[in-house]
Amino acid sequence: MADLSVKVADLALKNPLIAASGTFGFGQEMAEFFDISALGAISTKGFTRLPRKGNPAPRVAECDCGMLNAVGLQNPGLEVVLRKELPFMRSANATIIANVAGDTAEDYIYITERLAQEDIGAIELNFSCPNVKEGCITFGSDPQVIESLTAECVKHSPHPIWVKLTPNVTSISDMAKAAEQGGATAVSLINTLLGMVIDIETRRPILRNNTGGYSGPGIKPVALRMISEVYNSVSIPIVGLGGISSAEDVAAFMIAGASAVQIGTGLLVNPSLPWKILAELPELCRKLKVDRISELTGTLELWT
Amino acid sequence: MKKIEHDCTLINKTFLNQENILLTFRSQLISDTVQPGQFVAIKGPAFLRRPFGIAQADRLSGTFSLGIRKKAAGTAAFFDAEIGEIFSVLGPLGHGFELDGLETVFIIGGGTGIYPLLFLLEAVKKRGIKTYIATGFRSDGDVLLAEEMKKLADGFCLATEDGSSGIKGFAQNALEKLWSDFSNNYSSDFDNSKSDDDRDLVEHSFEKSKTALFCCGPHPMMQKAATWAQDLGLQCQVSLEERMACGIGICRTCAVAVKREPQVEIEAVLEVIKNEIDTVVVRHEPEFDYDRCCIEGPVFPAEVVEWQI
Repeated sequence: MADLSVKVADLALKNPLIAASGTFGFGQEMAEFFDISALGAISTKGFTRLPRKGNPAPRVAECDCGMLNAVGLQNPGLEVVLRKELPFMRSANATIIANVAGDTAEDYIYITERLAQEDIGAIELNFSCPNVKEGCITFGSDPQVIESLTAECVKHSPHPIWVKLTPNVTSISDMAKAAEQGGATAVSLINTLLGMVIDIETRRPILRNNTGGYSGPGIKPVALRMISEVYNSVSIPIVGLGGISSAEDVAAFMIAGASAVQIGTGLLVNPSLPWKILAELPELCRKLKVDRISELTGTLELWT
Repeated sequence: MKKIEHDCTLINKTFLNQENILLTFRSQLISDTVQPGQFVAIKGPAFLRRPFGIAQADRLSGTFSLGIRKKAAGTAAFFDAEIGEIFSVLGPLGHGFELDGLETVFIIGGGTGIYPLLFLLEAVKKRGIKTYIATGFRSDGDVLLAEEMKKLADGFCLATEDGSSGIKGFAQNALEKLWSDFSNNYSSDFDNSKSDDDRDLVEHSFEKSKTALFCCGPHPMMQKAATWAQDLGLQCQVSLEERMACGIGICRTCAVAVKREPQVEIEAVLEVIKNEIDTVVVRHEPEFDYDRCCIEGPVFPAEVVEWQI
């Protein structure tokens, strides 16, 4: 039986499968149907200092190989997360990755400080949500801001700080390097690609927000390319995501350079997907001739 | 832990007209547990599942049926489905109609909204609730399930916009006709225009608090009907629809704007933060909240729905 445990810097996970932010809520709904403690970790719905109501509907538009979403960070806010959501996740024995978003640098620092005493695995700084006007992606597109804000959060937190990167930039490697410079313990990539779906009869975008984040199998080649690129640019670990739908996809992401992976849109369509993949990983390891799944990380041999 | 994902075999396929089909699937668990107004999310060739309200459920045969209208490629694919084919189905999902304590029910439906109302109609009849149903379609050729509903209901009125079948007009006209016939025959215990003696002369009376209007159909139809019910003092429940990804409450895409009482303890916490630190940016947020159509809905009390959005 293959060893599925992995490490993301010092954080040990029982397997490489993490539920991606925004596709698992805070675990409560899924816990009714599945053993959420079996996953490597759960990245929470991105939360902000104050509650957010999010964008008007339609918030989702289907496309050929995935979907666009423009939820707009609807969340109950830090206070409710601290009092209700995190205690539930802990009671369910989930390893928590707290996905933090904000309008301002102060928001990120404040939330990071407030999470100091919480029993969580890591903080994932969401510098990449494309569906809100302030903060997030604007921070994630500027290497200087990434570096200084990451450094501030690292200074204020005993927890590992991960930085979740947007692919909507000219060079994602520059962003990853900035996160590393700022002291991030890992980078997670990629968040959604900004896109649009159009109704030709009404001549309007389907999404009320006009644009939204493209996710699903269609973005997988982009994610793999970016992970491979970032793997060769930084020495901190990578948490890979973007369209993972099978055990083979997990292996490809790890080979490209990911130490762990996140599953998001795939589980929105098939909620049992992470558990199905988990059951298939030992057999796949045997097939790929590795005793420990972590041996796959970064073994990609690029053509020269 | 509950089971949410089921492999269901397609066992029957009935064309209702060119654009509408009734598909019957086998699932003992879904047929045993589903409540009227609930839905399932079924995986076809399109990327996302498609949500459909349950149109029929039969515990005896362990089957349930879905009514599907051909809208675009996603729904059209189900028309080519073959008997014996197995589909992945999530369900039963969502919050259905509340029937407890009701003695009389009025139902209004139009378009594909008619499908979940068939299951509702069967359920209310089983409970011995008096039921009056008004439906509206564009034209005679678009009419769905009229015979089935007529058989089950205590009162039935069909309207078509061109008058080619039933009365000429909209579902709302049919509803008002049913209501006026009903209120001529029955006296409300709240109707103060009638004296006690008058009331004794009428064989049956009805209590407004035990009477409800249930709606499923296009937004303008439901909004109009809900206002009508409110004016009469009847409780009203509406079944809404919104573009949806997961169907189980985790993605928060199927947002429905609702009016909610502010949650006292959360408001109190927020006041504390706002006073504590002045760096907090208070964003402009809408007055209403967003519920999930798939969890808090699809059936909502009409009075909480923010129609204008």
